[in-house]
Amino acid sequence: MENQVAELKGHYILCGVGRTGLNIAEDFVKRRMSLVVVEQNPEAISTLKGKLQHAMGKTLYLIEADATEDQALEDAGIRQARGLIAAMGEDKDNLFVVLTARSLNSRIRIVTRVQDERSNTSKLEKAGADKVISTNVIGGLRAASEMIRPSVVTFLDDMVHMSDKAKTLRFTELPVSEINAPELVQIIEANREDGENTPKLTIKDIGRYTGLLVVAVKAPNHSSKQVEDSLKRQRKYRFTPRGDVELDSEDILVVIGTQDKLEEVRGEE
Amino acid sequence: MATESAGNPELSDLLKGPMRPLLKQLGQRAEQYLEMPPVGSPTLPEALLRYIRIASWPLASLAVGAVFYLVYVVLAAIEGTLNVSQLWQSLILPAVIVYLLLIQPIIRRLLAHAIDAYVSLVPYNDKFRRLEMRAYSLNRRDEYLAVGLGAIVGLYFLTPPLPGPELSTRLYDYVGEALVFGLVGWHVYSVVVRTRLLSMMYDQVQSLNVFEQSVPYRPLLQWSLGVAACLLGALVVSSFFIPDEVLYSPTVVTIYAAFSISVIIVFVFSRVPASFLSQLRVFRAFVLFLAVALVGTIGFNRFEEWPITDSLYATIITMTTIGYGDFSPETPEGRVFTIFLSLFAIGIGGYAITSIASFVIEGNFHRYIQGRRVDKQIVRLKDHYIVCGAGQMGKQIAIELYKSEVSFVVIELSSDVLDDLMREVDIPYVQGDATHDETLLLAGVERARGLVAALRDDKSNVFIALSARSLNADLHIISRLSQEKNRKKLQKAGVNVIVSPEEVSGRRMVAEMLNSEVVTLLDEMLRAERQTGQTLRLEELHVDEIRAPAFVELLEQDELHIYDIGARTELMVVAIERCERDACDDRYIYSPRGSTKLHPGDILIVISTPEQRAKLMRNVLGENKIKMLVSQISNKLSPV
Repeated sequence: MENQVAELKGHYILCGVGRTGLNIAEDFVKRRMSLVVVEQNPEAISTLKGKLQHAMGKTLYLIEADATEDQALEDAGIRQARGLIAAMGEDKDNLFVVLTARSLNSRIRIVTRVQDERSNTSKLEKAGADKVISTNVIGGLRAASEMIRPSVVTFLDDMVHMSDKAKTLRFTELPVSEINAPELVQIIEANREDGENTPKLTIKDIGRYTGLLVVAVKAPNHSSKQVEDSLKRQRKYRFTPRGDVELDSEDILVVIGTQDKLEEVRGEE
Repeated sequence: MATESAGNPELSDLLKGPMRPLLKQLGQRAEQYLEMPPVGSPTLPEALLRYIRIASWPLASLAVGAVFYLVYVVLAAIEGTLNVSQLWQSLILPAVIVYLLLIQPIIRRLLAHAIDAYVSLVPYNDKFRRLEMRAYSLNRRDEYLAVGLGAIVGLYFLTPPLPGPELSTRLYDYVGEALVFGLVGWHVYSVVVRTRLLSMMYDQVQSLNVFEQSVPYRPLLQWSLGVAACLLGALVVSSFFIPDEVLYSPTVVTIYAAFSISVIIVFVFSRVPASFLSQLRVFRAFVLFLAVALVGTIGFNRFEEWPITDSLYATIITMTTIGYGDFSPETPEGRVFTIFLSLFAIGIGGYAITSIASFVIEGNFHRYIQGRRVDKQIVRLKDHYIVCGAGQMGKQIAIELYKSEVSFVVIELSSDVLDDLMREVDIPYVQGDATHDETLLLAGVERARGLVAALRDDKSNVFIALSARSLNADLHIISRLSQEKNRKKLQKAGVNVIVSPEEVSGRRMVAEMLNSEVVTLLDEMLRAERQTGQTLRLEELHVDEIRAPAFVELLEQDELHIYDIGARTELMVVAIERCERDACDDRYIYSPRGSTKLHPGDILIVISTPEQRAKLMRNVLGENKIKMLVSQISNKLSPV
C-alpha cells in the first residue's frame, strides 16, 4: 500500500478517523476521490476497515502511524497532496498536525476541527489552517436551525451540494467601484459629469439591473482619527438598507447573488 | 463676574512662549473631544441635533442656544421690554442648554473608553454585546419619560429670574426651563442607566476572569469622575449667571442639592466604592447612610430652622421610614427638600439595612429569588422550545436560539455548566434531570412547540424523546446522535429530526476542502456577525402560514407580491422554494423580483435581523401572542 501512496498526486489526507473522521472518509469514498487516512488507534482502524473495506486500496489508503510525527505525514505524501483535514479529538494534536503540514507544504489547503472554539480557533488559524470548524458550533447551529427554520436548512444543504456552480448563491462584498454592468455604469458616469442634479445610484437600481440582493452597505473606512473600536463597528455597516439609499462611489456593498450574476456585474466572462 | 483675563500681559506672553505647543495639543484634544463620534443608533438628543444638519456637534449645540436666545431678544424687542441690564442674567438658560449639549460627546467618549477597556479583557459574547448596545443607544421610550419628568420638575421650580408679566419673558422662561430640565433629566437618566450597565459589564468581566486577577476598576472610576465633573460643571456654569442674592435661596440650593445627590447615586451604582473598600459592603452602606444623614440634617436645619439634634432625629426617622410625625416640615422649601430627601434616603436607608442584614445572615437569598422569578417566567411561556442539556453542543444551541430571539428554556443538571452558560446569555432555565417527567413538566413541555435533546449520551436522549412524546403528542423533537448504531432507536422513540454533530461537521469539512470557493451563506453570515455585532439569519416564511387579513385577501385574489411583504417588514427575499406539479428539479427562484406573485405552498427564504423577524411575526403571520425573549429579559431585575 505504501507504494501506491507514494505515487499519489493531488490527493487528500485525513488525520484521525474517529466519529467525525469516519463521516469524512465515507464522503470521500462516495465521491471516489483518493484519500489517505493517518490513524494509529487500533479500534478506530478496525471500525474504518469494517465499514469501508470495499474501498481500501482503491481510493482509500491507510497509514497506521501517529499523525503528529513528521514522518507519518511524509509517508502520506503531504508534499504532493492537495488538502489535509485534521479531525482528531484533541485540539493540541490538531494544532500540531496543522503546524507540521503547513511547514512541509505551504500551498496545501488545511481544514481542521476544533473542540474549544473560543480559545483555540485563532491559534489554529495562526498555525496555518485555512478553515477551522467546530463540531459543537456546527452541530448546535444545525439543531437549532432544524428547530426554528427547517426549510432554510434544506435550502442551504441544496446550495452546498448543487452541481451547477453558476447557480449557487454567494454572499460577498462588492465595492461600488467594481460594478461593471452597463446600465449602472451609465448612472455612475452621469453623476460624475453633472454633479448634483442627476439622480444618484440607489440600492433600487442595483436590484433592478443586476438582480443582486444588497444585505448591507459598508461605508468607506476613514481611519484618520482614532475612533473607538466599538464605534467603528457600529458605523461601518448599514444593514438591509431601504431601496432609496443613495450610494457613494467608495461604498462597499455586501450582496447575495448567484455566481453567474455576480460575474456579470463585475464584467467578468 | 469678570472671568476673562485677556488684558493680563504675563499670561499672554506665556501663551506665546513655551506653552504654545502644549496649548495646541490641548486644543486639538479638546476639539476631538467636542466632536461627536460617529453614532450607530442615536439617542434622543443626538437624533434631535441631527435634524439641524450641522455636521459639527459644538456648532450645532451653539446654534440651538443662539437661536433660542435670539428668538427671545427679538420677541422682547418687538414688545419693547428688552432690559439691557438683565441681558446677562437672561443668558443663563441658553448657556446651560449649550453646556448640556456640549458635554454629550465627552460623556459618549468616556463611555466608549470604559466599554473598550472591558471589552478587551473578555471574549466578546452576546450578553456583553447586548449590554454594550443598550449603553450606546439607550431606550427611546425611557428617554422621553426622563425628558418629560425633567421638564415637569423644571416647570415646578420655575422662579422667573426676570420680573414682569411680559409675554416674551414668560414664554422664554417656560420653554427654556422645560428645555434645561428636560436635558438635565435626560442626562441624569442616561448617566444612571449607563453606569448601571457599565457596572454590570464590570461584574461580568469579574465573573469571566478565570485567573482571579483583580479586574481594573479604573475605567469605571474614570467614567464616574468624568461624568460627575460634567454634571457638576452645569452647576458652575449656571452659578455665573445667577445674581448673588438669589444664589443662596432655598429653591436654588434645593436644585443644586438634588443634582449633587444624583451624582452621588452614580457613584453608588458604579462599583467604584466597593472596589476601593474591597467589598466591605457594610462599610459602604454605612458611609452612604452617614452622607445622607448629613445632607438631611443640614437641610432641615436650614429650611426649617430646627436645631441640629432635632434635624438629625427627623432625618433618621425619615430614612428608616418610621415617621412618628412629631417633626414635619412647614415651609414650602422644606417640604420640597423632604420629598427629595425621602426619595433618596429611604432607598439608601433600606440599602444600608439590607446590607447589614445580609452581612449577618450571609445566605444565598438572591439566587433563591432569581430562581423563583425564572420559574414564574417559564410558567407563562407558550409555544416555546426546550433545550435539554447545556454542554458544549447544547450551549451552542442555546446561544443560537437566544440570538434568534425565540423563547426557550434550558434544562441542565449541573450547576457548573449552568453558570458557564449564564455568563454568556441570560435565559430561563430549569435545573434538573431531563429524563425525569417532572423536570420536563417544569419546563412546560405540554405547552412547548419543540424540544432538542442534546445530551452526549444517546440512551438519555432516547429516554427524553420517549418521555416528551408521551407528554406532548405534537411536540417537534430533535435529538443529538453520538453513535451511528443508535439512529434506529432514536427514530423509534419518536424523534422527528436526528442531528449528528460529527456527521454535519464532517460534511462541512469535506465541503470546505473540496469546493472552497462556494462559501456557505450561513458561515459567511456568522463571520459578518463577528465583525459587525449584528445578527443576520436566513429565515423562512411559509405562505400558507400567513394570517394577517390584508395579506390573506391579496393571496385569495392572486395579487400578493413580494414587495407587499417587503413594504411591511423590510425583509429581503433570497429565494422562493416552489414545487409545481411535482417538478421539483429547479425548485428555487433566486433573488426574485419584487413583482413576483406568491402562491399558496410557496416558502420564502428571507434574510433578516431579529427585529425584522419580530415584525414578520406581527405583521405578516399575525402572531400577536408571540413573546419576545428580549422583553422578558429586560423585565428581569439585574443582580444587585
